[in-house]
Amino acid sequence: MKPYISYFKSELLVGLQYKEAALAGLATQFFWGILYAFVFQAFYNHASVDTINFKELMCYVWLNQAFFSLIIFVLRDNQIMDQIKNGAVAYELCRPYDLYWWWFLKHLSKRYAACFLRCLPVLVFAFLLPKPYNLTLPISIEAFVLFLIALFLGTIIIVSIVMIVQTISFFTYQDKGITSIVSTVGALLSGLDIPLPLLPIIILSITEYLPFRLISDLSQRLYSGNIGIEYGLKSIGLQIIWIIILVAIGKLLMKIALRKVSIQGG
Amino acid sequence: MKLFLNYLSLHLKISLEYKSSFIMTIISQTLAMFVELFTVYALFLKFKLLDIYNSYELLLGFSTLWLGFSLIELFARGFDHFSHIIINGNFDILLIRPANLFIQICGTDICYEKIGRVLVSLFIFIYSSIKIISHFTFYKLLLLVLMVIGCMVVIFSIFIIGATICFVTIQGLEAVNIITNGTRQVCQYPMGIYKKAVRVFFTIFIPVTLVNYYPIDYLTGRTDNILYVFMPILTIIMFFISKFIFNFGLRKYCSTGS
Repeated sequence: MKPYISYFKSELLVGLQYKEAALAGLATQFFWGILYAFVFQAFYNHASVDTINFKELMCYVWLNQAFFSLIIFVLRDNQIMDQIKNGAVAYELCRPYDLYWWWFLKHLSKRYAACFLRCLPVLVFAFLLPKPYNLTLPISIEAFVLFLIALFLGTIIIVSIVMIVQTISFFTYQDKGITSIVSTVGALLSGLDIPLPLLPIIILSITEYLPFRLISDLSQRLYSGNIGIEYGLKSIGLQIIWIIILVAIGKLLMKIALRKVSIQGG
Repeated sequence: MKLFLNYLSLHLKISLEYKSSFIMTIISQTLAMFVELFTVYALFLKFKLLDIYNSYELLLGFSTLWLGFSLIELFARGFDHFSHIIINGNFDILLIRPANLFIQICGTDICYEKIGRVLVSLFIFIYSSIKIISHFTFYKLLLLVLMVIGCMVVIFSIFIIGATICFVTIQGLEAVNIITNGTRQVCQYPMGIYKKAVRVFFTIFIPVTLVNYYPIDYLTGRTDNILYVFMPILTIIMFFISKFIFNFGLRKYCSTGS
């Protein structure tokens, strides 16, 4: 366990070094939040929908922005993919840890380190905004606790999906195509493009059977009380089942990949 | 112009070297556009706005914007990646060559991956305009062409202004990305859904409404005012302003090379 924790610490320190990058990221998050607020406001001026009201929607939007680096599909810097391409993966294979979990933790700590720097300012900013556009307090303490649990499990789900995609690129040696296709479809089905309650019912019923909505849609809706505690608890159970399935697939793929891996470079 | 054609063929050769990666990227890029179109459509469906807005008008506005955007991304990607040219000092090389600077900057990166978006949005553009226009006249055809050109001019101007900022900051700014992608995000919906202030902003500062909102009124026959046909030409003002700003920045430019 110790090497994992120390890796997390070092990753956090690296993140703190790049303050400008963090600031630029912050500005982007503010701006996109405001932009979404504008667009959705325009729609709500014309009509309202029964699946989600504007107050809940604004919570959804701002939480998505605040925890963006936790729940997004691809983070910019893709160290592991580079390692596969340039052959440095050989060093990783020599390390005395399970490679799957090592990379898993690497991804996870990168996400939390990036989020650690950004989420607080975005949340504060969103709280301070004028009335209909602001982030409100969670509906109840129970909902807030469930929100935190669901968000954490959601991060585990997205990382285990990323692990699968990444392992596939072991076979193809190119990641761009498959990653961008998965992230485009995934962003739609997980409510990053527009909140899931605003999608047509047909799509919603499809998402019920996929792990994507459990990444961030569940937690964001629990926070604002758009879905009840009971349904939330059930979904958290579902999250755990999905984590087991996805990790099992990922580990299996990794096993096959490592048997076939050829090291690039000389 | 011959120079630019030369650039085009060179970059085509580069792209075709990595065929499978190239095709995958085209597919995923086009898919991303479809997802955007889908979300626009889904929102209109959800808020029952399709009774008020004709869905072909929605498609036409959307495809005009994306067509102009993808064409500029295809040909003028160099301006989008201007910070790279500045950081590694290559900009100095461009400056001493006896050729048009703008063409050279465009020529540093021709992004053929956008070709899928261009073709698909062109198809939607033609399809929806056929559905909207009951009988074609010379002016309506002219307007369709001007809409696309005008849209390209607007996006190109934003790119130029973004590149100018790099003279000062050296580093590329995410802020520029916010402006380009943010504009696309807002303007891919019919501008009619927004409050007047938003429309005014996108008429005066970033004149997108001149190419994908007001002219549609003329195409549908809601107005006969001939001035609507020449509206997209006004975007040229933004181009001159941005070119002026660029040249101003160029004079202040200090090399980063060694």
